[in-house]
Amino acid sequence: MRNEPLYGLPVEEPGDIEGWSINADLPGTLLAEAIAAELTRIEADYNAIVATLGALPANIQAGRVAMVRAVFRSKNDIFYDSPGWLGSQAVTFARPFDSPPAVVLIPQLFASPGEIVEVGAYNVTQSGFTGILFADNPPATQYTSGWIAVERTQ
Amino acid sequence: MPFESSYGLPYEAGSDLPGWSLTGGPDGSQPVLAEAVAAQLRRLDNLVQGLTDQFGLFPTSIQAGAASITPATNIVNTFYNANYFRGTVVVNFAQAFGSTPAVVVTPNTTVPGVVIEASVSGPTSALCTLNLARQTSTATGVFWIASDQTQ
Repeated sequence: MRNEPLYGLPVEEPGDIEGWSINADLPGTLLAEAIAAELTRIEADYNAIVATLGALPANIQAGRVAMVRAVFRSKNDIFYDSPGWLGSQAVTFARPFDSPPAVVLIPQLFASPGEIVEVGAYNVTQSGFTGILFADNPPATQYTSGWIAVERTQ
Repeated sequence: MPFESSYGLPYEAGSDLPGWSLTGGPDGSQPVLAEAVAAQLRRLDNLVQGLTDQFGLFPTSIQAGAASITPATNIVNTFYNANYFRGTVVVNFAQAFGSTPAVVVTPNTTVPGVVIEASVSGPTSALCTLNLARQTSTATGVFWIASDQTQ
């Protein structure tokens, strides 16, 4: 008798008692049981991956939204010493969520940190949202924000 | 010699030499069932290992939600031209993280330009506190995402 080298599955050789690897009444490891043990191990490995992935939100998407200078409008506000500038831009998800996701945005600044007052999302639906940005001045060309949308888990 | 159609595993027919699929035949030149099965097991193992390698670097837990904060505390200050309002809400994670996660938050407001700050305080594996400051005391929505830290 011998064993194949990958998993040690039993292989019969000429001269062996015929059928020992498939007959439980003969001495030796049953081929079927050796295969079943390996299948069980692989299935357990696979199930571990499924469990790990299954615990994560089923839909996570991310991107960047640019708000060009032309979309910014002055917003008078006595809260500040001078009017601020408000811009918005709609984003459509590449594929819809099953329900409105949680959306977070962070401005990606290339200069002058401190000028952006607020970045937010509103009108969030399964298919998209509108990113907003409020700053003390309109951008020279555009403001860009990174966004991540995640299926809500609670 | 016949082979089944899904994986090409050999099996024996009535006219075959009995046991050749177990031995490879008298001269060992025929396909051996055990070796054919082992090759398929190795292929499956490699596929599973590929998945493990691909997704093993993912955060093990990512949670997300929405909350509402009523900024009821009036804050007198000199930085702005008027008082502002501050509020907090505690978020208890539906499932505790293995360690303190990274938490990010963004206001979900229907009146853009009024919120001053949305931030996070005191995250633990079980909860975090979301903060919101705005010009008025109107209840304001926030979105949050918490993820296992990967570094």
